[in-house]
Amino acid sequence: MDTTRVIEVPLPEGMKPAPEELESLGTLLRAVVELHGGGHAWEKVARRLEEEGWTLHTRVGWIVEARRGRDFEQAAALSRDEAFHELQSLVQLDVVPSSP
Amino acid sequence: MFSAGVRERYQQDLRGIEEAGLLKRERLIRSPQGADICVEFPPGAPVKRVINLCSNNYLGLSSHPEVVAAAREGLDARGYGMSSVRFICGTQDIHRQLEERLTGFLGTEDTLLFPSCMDANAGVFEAILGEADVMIADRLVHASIVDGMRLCRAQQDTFKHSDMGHLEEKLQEHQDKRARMVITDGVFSMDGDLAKLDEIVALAERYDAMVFVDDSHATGFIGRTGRGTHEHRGVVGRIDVITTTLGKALGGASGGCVSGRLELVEMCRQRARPYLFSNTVPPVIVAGALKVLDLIGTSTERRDKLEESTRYWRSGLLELGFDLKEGESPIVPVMLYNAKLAQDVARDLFAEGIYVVGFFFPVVAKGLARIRTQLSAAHERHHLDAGLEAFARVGVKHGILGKGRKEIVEAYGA
Repeated sequence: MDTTRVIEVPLPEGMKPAPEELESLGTLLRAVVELHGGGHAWEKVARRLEEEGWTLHTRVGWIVEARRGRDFEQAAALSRDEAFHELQSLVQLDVVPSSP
Repeated sequence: MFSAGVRERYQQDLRGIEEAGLLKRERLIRSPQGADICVEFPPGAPVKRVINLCSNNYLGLSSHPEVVAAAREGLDARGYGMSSVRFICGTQDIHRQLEERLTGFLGTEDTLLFPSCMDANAGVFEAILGEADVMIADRLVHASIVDGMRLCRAQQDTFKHSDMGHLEEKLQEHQDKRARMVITDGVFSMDGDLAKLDEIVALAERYDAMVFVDDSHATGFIGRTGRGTHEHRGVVGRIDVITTTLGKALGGASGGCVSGRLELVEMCRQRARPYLFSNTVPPVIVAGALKVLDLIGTSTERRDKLEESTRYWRSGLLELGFDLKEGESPIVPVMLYNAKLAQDVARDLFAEGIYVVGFFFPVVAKGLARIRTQLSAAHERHHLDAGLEAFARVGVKHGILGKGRKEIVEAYGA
C-alpha cells in the first residue's frame, strides 16, 4: 500500500519560497523517490534497449520552454544557463522566416 | 477521422491567417516563364501580359529554346522518370555527368545531386555532423538550412547577421567541440546582400572550422564567371560545402546539389536521408541542366548583361527617389516599411503591368516591409524602362518618392 509521507521544514518568518524554488524541491524529491525504486515501467524499456545494443545514461537536468502564439521551442541541459543558451539559439534560428 | 470539430479547428486557423493579412493566393500564369508573362489574377479575370520582376530566372534560361530542346532530347533518350532512388536503380550516366560538370564549375572536389536544394540542406548536416560538433549559423540563413540544422544532433548556435566580430567570439567559444561549421547563405534572399565569405573563410581557417554556403541566389551569375559568391570573394576551393539549386538561374526547373570536399560529399551519398529516400532527379531535368552549363560555361554574356541591367535598374529607382537596400546582387529590395503600403504598391504596379510581390512581417522583420524586385538577363532595356515608368507613377500616387524610412513611417505607420 502506498504511503504518503509529509516532510515539514520550518521556514523563517516572512520567507516565501518562489514557485520555481518549490518546483525545484519537488523535482529533487521526485528524483530521490525514483532512485529508490519509484515506478518500474522504465526498467523494461531500459532492458530492451540494452539488449538492442544501446548504452544508457540517466541525468537530471533543466527543461526550458518558450511559447509565442503558435511557436514553441524547448531546450534541455544540465544547467539552467546551458538550457537557456540553447533555447536562445533555437529561437534565433527562426527569428525571421526567409523567402525563396 | 476528420470530424466536423477537427475541420472547424483548421478552418478557424485559416481564417486567422487571412485576418492577419497573410493568406497566400496563387496567380495563374498562362505562359512560359520569361521577362514578360501572361497572368490571370484574380481567377476569372482577363489574362494580362505583365513584366515579371519577381522570378529567380536570373539568367533568362527558364524557357530558353536550347534548354527546352535539350530537355526534350533527354526525355526521348532517357525517358520520363526513373521510379527509383539513386542508389538502387536511379543513377544514369547523365546524372554522374552533371555532377562532374557542377564540380568543375563550382571548383570543388565532388558533387551529389538532390531532388532540390531544400532537400540538400535538409540532409547535409545530419550526414556530416554529430553531437560532439557545433553549427554556427548566420541569423538570416534560409529556412531550409534552419530545418536541416534542426534535424542534426550537433549543437546549434548563431551569429548576428554578417557580424564577423560576433562570429569570431562564437568560434572562440566553441573551441572545445570536435568540429565547428560556419553556415551562411552566399546571397541573402530578402536583402540581396552578399556574405563576407573572404572574412568568414579567414576566421574559419584561424579557428579550425569548416564553411558551408548555400549559394542558390548566386550560382550562375555572381562572380566574374558566374561561379558564385565564393568566386566574387576570391575564395574558390576554400569552401568545404556548397549547396545550390538548379531551380533558379540554372534553368529554373528543379533539382539541387551538395558540392564540396570529397569525403563530405561521400558521407552525404552514404547517409543523407533525402538522397537515400527520395526519387532521383528526372532525366529531363538533368539534360536541361547540362545544356545550361554548356551555355554559361562558354560565355559570360548573360551574367554580364544581368550585372548591367541591375546597375541600370538600381540607379533608375534611386533617381526616382525610392529607398533601396544597398547591394550588388540582382535582388533589389524597394523599401516601403509599412505592410499595407507594400501590398497596395504591389497591387497598383500589377495594374500598371508590372508583376512584383510585397513582403512584410513575418517574412521580413516587422517594420521593414518591401517589394523585392529581381532582375533577369531576359529583361531588355524596354522592360526596365517600362518598369521604371510604372514605379514612378505608383510612387507619385502614394507620395513616397524622395522619402526615407522616417517620412514613410510618419505618413503610413510602422
